[in-house]
Amino acid sequence: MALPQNKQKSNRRILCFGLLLLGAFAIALASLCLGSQPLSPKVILQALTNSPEISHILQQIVFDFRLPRIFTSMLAGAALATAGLMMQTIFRNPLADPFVLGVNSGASLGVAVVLLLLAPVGITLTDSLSASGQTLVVLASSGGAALTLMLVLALSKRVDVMSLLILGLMISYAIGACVSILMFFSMAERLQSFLNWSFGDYGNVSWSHMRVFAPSILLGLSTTLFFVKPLDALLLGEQYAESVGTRTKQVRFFVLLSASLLAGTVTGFCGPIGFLGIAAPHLSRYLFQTSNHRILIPATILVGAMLSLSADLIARGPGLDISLPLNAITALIGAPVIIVALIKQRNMKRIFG
Amino acid sequence: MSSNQPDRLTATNLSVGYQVNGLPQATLSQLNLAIRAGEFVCLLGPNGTGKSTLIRTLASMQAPLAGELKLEGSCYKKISPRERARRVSIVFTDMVPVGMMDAYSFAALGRHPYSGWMGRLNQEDHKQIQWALEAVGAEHLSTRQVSELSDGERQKIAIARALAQEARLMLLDEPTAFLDLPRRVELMRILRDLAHREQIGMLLSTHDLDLAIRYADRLWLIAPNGELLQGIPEELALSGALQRAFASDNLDWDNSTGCLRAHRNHCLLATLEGSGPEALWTRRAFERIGVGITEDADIAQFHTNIEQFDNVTRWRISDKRNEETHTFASIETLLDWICPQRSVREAKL
Repeated sequence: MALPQNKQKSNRRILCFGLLLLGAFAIALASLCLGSQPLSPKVILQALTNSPEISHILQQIVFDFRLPRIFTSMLAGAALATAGLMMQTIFRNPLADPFVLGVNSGASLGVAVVLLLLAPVGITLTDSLSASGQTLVVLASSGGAALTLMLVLALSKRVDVMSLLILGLMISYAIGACVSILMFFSMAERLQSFLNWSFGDYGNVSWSHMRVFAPSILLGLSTTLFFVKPLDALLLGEQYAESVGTRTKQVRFFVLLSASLLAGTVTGFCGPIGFLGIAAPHLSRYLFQTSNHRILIPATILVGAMLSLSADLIARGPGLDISLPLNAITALIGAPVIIVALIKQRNMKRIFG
Repeated sequence: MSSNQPDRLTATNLSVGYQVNGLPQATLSQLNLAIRAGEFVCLLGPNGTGKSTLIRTLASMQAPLAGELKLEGSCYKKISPRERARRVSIVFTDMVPVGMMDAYSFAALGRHPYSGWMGRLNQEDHKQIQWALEAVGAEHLSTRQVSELSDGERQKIAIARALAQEARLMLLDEPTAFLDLPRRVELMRILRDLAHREQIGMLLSTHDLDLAIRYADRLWLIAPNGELLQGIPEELALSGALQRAFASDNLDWDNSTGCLRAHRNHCLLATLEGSGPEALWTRRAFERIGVGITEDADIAQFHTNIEQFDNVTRWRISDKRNEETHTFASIETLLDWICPQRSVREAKL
């Protein structure tokens, strides 16, 4: 309908998308330039265009460290944000995040088994993040996430949405308890490497890992195209969704599968990264003033990528000698975003009604 | 009512209910029902007799325990969810609250059974949504946020959403439960007119006996014994079915006035002479405070005469107990005189 308000609205949306794209690009560029060694945009450009004027070392820094890190950061942010959005809609709960079903605790149990149990009994792991050791951690955490996911999905067809949310929480607690027991019997140095994993890090995905990481995330993101309509219908609750022809149980299964693939992949490669999955969907809803998933999904992908890039940029502490744990930064960025969105909308209820 | 159209819905030997520990627990059984094109049916029954279960079953959101259900002549099992959504639309008591959505987008969700996989709407869809909003008188709400609407406005939008589905059968589960009386009357009128005009078969469950009798083309009445009686409202009233279904320790169905009446033990008896609205409301006032009306002047404690001249009304009471006469200018002052005696009698009892 060509109502003037609608025209105004769509103009505002185009502007928002433009600004988000621009912002993401600017932060990505800043991430390329800033780091333990600041590089000028000119050097970056020379490195990217393979110019002979630049030293081999600098080119390696840009190509093998900074570029994969930026891609990882954007993909991980987009993945967690989209998974969070889908979980919030499916569970009709503004506090749902990609990990409500226990995917991250499953992953952490896998990693804990590798780092705390197997390593001490002789299955050697290099303490530094060498390629083989890192691959084992990725395999362990993906395996742990996949197992939890299968358990929850098997249950998802038998119970209603609210029970599923509680089941997910309970499974998380139970697995968390197992991890605590493993930690209790572990040596300090082993604990330290487990803790380092749990802080989250985008720097562990090399180009060879990227061959698995990027396709998994892109696959997960592209499946969301099929969920636009059913997710819109699910905003009305499962009964109404069913009455307009949505196969709710099937949709729920595939949405959970896709969200868990996204969240599980990120956790496997980068560790458990919190808050992006909650904050990005809220920020997108607030920016675009809509609950229509055709707009929200691309918006959330952009917002997620941008928040993730900013968090990583801050965590690396440009200009400082230290780098901070990524998870702490995502929480420090995420919590205020949610608080502001909440205050601006006066109450959380308006997000789902 | 057109006879060339097939019945919107037919049920043969239908049993509805739940599986409890693997055993079927039927709340209603042996039902033979039909909803015709353009027929506005009201489903009445006390709480817990299975109204919602029946509606959910008729909408195929729940499997029947036994029997056969046919939607325009074809079995539900052979219809895909999308096709089913084009034929049946549902409105529930309360709408799940949604934020960040305007009323137009909400009604637009009714076009899901017609739109493509991305849910994009074409000109025809927009026309249908606009029509649905106008049909319920909610076109002025279309840019308002759903979360900011009142209960009545929300229910209108919910019905517009169902109308946008273009379904020929519409099932409504107590859609008027949270509305005030004028809104309820308005909604019933809108729905009945739509059913007649658009030839939609409509089933609406409600607790509002009075409105159902006034608006329904046909009543389905669940009696306390679990039997479902059906017929046109007037026939059900005359045959005494309404009386049997609604009689309880505290309530009576009064066939002479056509409404429910709370009955209680009268502590005083009076005769009442007079006509017009004054007589009606005096009668209601007496009933409310527990004064019984009798025709028999010998057992009454006092006689009431309503006298009217020159637009002035007087209530004249002649008290048989002490042969006194009192005159009152309003029902309120009359009741003020009666009430103290009532409490004295009650105290004695």
